[in-house]
Amino acid sequence: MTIAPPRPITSGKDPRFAPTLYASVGQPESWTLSSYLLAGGYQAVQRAFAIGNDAVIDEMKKSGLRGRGGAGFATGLKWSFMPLNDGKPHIVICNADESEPGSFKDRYLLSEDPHQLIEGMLIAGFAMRASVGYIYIRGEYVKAAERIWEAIHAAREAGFLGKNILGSGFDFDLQVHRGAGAYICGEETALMNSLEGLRANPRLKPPFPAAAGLYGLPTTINNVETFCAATQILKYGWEWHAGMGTEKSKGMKLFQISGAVLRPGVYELPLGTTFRELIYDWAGGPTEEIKAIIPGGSSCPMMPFTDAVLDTGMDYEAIAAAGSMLGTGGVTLIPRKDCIVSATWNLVRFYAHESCGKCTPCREGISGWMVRMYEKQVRGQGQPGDVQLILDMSDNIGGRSFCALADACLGPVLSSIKLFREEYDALANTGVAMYPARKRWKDA
Amino acid sequence: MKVTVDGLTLELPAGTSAIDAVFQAGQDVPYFCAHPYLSPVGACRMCLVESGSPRKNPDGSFIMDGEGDAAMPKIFWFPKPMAACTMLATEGMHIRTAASSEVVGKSQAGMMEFHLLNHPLDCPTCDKGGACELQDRAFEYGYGESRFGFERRHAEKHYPLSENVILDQERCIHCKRCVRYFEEVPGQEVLDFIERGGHTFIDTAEGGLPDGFSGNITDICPVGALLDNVARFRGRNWEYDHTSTTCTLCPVGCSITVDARNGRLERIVAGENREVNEAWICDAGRFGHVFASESRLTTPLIRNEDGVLVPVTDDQAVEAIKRGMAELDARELAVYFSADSTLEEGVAAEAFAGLTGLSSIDHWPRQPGYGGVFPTLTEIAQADAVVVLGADLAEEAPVLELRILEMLRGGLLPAEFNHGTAIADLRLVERPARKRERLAVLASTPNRLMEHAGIYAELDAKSALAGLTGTSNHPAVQGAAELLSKGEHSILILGAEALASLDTASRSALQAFSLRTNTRVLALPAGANSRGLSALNLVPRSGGLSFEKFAGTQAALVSRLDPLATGTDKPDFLIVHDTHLTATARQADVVLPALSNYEKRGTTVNLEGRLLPLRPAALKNGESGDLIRALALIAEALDLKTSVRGIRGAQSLLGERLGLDVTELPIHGLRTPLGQRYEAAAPKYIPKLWKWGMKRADFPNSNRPDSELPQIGGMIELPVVPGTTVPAPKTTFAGGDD
Amino acid sequence: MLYFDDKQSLVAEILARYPSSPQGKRSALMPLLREIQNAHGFVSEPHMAEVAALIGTTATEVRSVLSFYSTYHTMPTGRFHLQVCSTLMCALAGSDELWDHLTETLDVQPGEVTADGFSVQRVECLGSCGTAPMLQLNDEGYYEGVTRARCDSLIAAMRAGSAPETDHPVPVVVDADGRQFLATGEAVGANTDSLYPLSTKPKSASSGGSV
Ligand SMILES: Cc1cc2nc3c(=O)[nH]c(=O)nc-3n(C[C@H](O)[C@H](O)[C@H](O)COP(=O)(O)O)c2cc1C
Ligand code: SF4
Ligand code: FES
Repeated sequence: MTIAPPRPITSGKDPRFAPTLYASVGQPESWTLSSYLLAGGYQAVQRAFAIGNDAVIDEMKKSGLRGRGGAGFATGLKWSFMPLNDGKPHIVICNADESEPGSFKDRYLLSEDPHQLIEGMLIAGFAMRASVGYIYIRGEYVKAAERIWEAIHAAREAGFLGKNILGSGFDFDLQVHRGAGAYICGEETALMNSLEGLRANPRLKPPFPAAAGLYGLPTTINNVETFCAATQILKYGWEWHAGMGTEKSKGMKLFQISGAVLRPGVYELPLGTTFRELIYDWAGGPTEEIKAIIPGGSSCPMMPFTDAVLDTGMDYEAIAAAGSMLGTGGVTLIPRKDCIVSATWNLVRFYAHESCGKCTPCREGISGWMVRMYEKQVRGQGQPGDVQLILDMSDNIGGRSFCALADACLGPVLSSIKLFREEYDALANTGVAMYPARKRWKDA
Repeated sequence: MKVTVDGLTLELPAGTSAIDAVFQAGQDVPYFCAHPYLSPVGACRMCLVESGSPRKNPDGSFIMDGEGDAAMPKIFWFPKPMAACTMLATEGMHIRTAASSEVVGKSQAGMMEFHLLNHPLDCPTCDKGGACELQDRAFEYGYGESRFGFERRHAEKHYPLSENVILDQERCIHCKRCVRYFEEVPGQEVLDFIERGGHTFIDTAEGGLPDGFSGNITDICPVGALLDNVARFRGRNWEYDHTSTTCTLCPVGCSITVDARNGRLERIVAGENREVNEAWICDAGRFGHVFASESRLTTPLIRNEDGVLVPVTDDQAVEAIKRGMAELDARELAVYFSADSTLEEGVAAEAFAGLTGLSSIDHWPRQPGYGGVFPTLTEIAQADAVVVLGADLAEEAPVLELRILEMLRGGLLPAEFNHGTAIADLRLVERPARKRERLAVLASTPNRLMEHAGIYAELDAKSALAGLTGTSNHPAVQGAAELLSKGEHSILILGAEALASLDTASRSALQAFSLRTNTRVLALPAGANSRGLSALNLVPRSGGLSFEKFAGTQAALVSRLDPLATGTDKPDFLIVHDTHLTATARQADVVLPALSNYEKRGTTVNLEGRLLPLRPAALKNGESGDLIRALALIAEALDLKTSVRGIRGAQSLLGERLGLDVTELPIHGLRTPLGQRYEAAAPKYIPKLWKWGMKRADFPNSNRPDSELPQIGGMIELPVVPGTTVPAPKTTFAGGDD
Repeated sequence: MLYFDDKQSLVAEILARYPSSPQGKRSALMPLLREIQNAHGFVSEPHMAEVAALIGTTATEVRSVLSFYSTYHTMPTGRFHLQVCSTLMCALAGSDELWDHLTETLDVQPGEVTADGFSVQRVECLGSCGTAPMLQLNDEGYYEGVTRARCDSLIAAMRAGSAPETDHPVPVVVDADGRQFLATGEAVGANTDSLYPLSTKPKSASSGGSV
């Protein structure tokens, strides 16, 4: 039996919507098992046990949930790729590496509501006949890792993890593996290498993780938010989830907003909510004049701050149609008065620093060359023709690298050149930025 | 499976990678990280191609393009270029290389530009110059200029990873071939990338590369980052004469290429022989060639009235032999030669023995063999149970060790195409699972292979063998026996220690065991060509003395052996045929200069019974000749008419015997039955791979140019009696041909 | 004595998280390095060799993996190792000025350790974009929303010998009714009645901020 969904209270777009993923965040001791149970925890997994593994996958398919790690791949379909009766142990992994600049939702899910994740992984493990789950959590999330460990211990003691969970006959346990500062570990195959104690270079696909993943065993990786959404779906039923959002982007999403905005933070809203709603209604509006929006984490191409963009729904299709991506849902507002070349340089530097070095276009193109081209511009040493060269280099990098990290770097590069070419040209030609550096740090 | 490359449709076996499809179609695509015997990784991104495939409708029919008869399956092209080395070619796939796609051409030029950004472009001082994949591909596919304009990365330029391998970190293009090689082939994690991204460089934290198989990385490095330190700065690639031949340091018989310059052997690189060594050789085989060009004997020497060895002509040497043998019957002459002598030399010796009726003849090292049908190296690589007993493969047959390790990885041998071994076999994976439980190693002292074995024990060969074939309560022996009896393709490898321990009883027990368990036995030959020489009647005949009884002979010819190094007595009359003035040669009455195996033409037989050709590299060796020639000179001195006076005669004699033309032997060799085996009792022999003379340190003057050495007869310093006229050496650059 | 000699149960506990196969054993590499670094502030070569032996690999492999990740240090760091996120979202909140202020006040550059035990490092996005700018202390936790005044008081406390507790503010919370609130108590968003009119109010892109 599903549980009746919470009383809807927000969003003109979707009258049925109310925060669920984030509902416990801020509740006293929300991370403890007792408060989780009080809020109806571990009922979703019982429903999963009751309907059986195939029905859970079916439920996930019908719910329309798509991966919240960035790529938006249909979760139910992904789960159905796991082999049946192959006699091998299966593994589920939670991707809690959250390193894409502008993304910080998983952090609070992990630290404030760890049992929601554990329950989601239990459901996934049950559906995919897995016996063990690993939570790969970025090394810097110390508090989150502590809370997750505590929650795992509590869940084990209460019989939610371990052998024959709640009499279902299902055995499952969780482990935490902490990263150590490498963005590439968010890429699923690099993550598996990292978990195996190797350099986190992405692996060749095929074989896909569902065929041969961690330790060569069938593996499925999902984002923290995806697992949490699975908990909610099993709790309230697929119809509830599929009833929210847009035709192809169903359900709720944690949007993060940062940069020049009054109330930065994480907001849970249905997919399809417009940028305008997020920015103004929730985040209180910009603190100054804005020229660009990064819509979903730093790798998503920047969009101009226009009415058309503000009225774009934040869902996979609408943002793609507008030329960018939903990504992780991490929205960043860039003020008019900040030099776009400098801002982009900052991101290029990030990707250059995070390149794993495996493939040539990323290691040499981005880490070796692109970042220096930008540095040269920002130092006022640019020359006419530099912007054209950056574009040509990008052409030789884009779609040619081993994994998507190099393309991720080109997101801000190409979009900022397209939108703000005059700033680039002015800087390259004169050595002087249209918007010089200014004071931003608050005194108190 | 039909695949279309640049418009040409061809039929390919399933499992072919796109890069092999391109080459099979006669087209080209540049590549750096792919390597036939290593897992594909797709790191360099040079091999980009455009590709597309047909798609099917839900009813299983192809989605078509065009109308009626002209309709063809519609090709759905990938929006971006794909790395051909990591892509499987599939039915109906279309591939476009730079020859037909501008996008591909530009991608490759762009990728080339990235590769060259941080490359020092110090080709004029780089040993790889002229044989550098980067240089060649830059020429073929690059922009021709760099738009980089920043300072290049700086790193360690002269960084010795071991005595033999030197690293230039600046030149590295991060193809990861060397890292994958160590991990996948010898199974050693001794070299890896350090740091990440643009800071990534190659290094080891093991305090140097391990001995064994480290030199192979100098072959596979596509640039001049990893170089052979023994050959460093000794020549440019276009100056070398390259000779494809067979290594005869051990009975594996690896294909090698000998690079000579100005008559000196400067470098050895691995040759490819899919059946034998694939693309790998051991460090001794690669680096241990120094003796071939250091302090060589180049003229005959005879002992004068003052007891001093002096250089002479061949005729004078013949005279000296005549004098020395004057009081003796030709039957009294014993003939002893090294077990790496060729089959041709063997038949010549056999013929010589027939001519003179001598009875003391032997080759060394020699140890008791064990008959049966030997497995091939490839069969070993594809076996499912291998037990190595009483052997130290690191000393006896190093590359056999690599083939055994290949077995642990599943024995996947890359397919073969018109263009050669598959460039990218997608069955090969990084960090492959190793089935250690398929290997047992039992030996009296710990050895390298034990580290990879699921079952191993330190156990003397006699009891190990007895336990294996009989009963044992030693768990490792039990495990090994069970492994062999359970395996479908079981192989037992016996080394020197095991063979020395064989007696009649253990032989029959072994025979029974191998029949019962369906195990094939490979007995390692003691010398490089022991297997071949044992097919000739070259063991002491009745009344004759074997080599270890050398001191008991009245007169002896000793070819490329050094019995007096260990201080036995010398026969009354001693003829030495050798490349160097060994301890034995120093006591000889007549010294005939010998060819090393790098300069010989001939045939050797490896441990699988495969006939492999030796081909002469152009080394400076003065008057040196092979054993055939030495025997011919002695026959002349003895006034005997021999039919085998040179290599041609020996080849035709051998050809008759084997029923095949050995001059036509393919470079990869041929397995053929060798017929009867001639055996005799043999002393215990402990094989050692590295011998005196193989390292440069053995020759104090070896780094000096030739002109600075005190020279006589071309290369060697000798105590010369004043007033002797030294015959001017003929400068021969050829090998042992007539 | 080796670092883990007297910590066999910890080692066993870490190894037990992974399969007992050689592959699984290797997974313990990162957790073991983390233990050492937490204790010593950095990982030395003998430590690398120790970890290699524990998990059955070579020192080369350990060094290779260690050097891949930016968290591990091979040089000693200070008692107060302060890391400043310098990625765009923090930069938009003044992290460059924070960095300059920090290095000037402490008189220290990356790679150095001051006499009073400070070392500094610029790092990439730490997932604190909503509470920027931020400081990370010793891989232990964050100080978030670090204003100039807060920065000064943090330094003062550390100089006085002890670092204040790291914090973990949650910028937006949800109450029992499902309303989203700022940590300050200010309600955000709207309910079904008020929301729609609110967001259709003319707020054109060019109209600038509400502050
Ligand atoms: C360079 C790179 C970094 C990534 N980082 C993350 C990350 O930090 N967190 C995450 O959940 N997914 C990340 N992803 C996406 C994952 O590879 C993977 O698609 C995702 O974890 C799948 O989960 P989902 O289906 O639930 O979205 C990254 C992908 C790439 C290419
Ligand atoms: S694009 Fe290449 S170098 Fe960059 S992170 Fe991916 S594999 Fe590594
Ligand atoms: S990517 Fe290097 S050869 Fe294909």
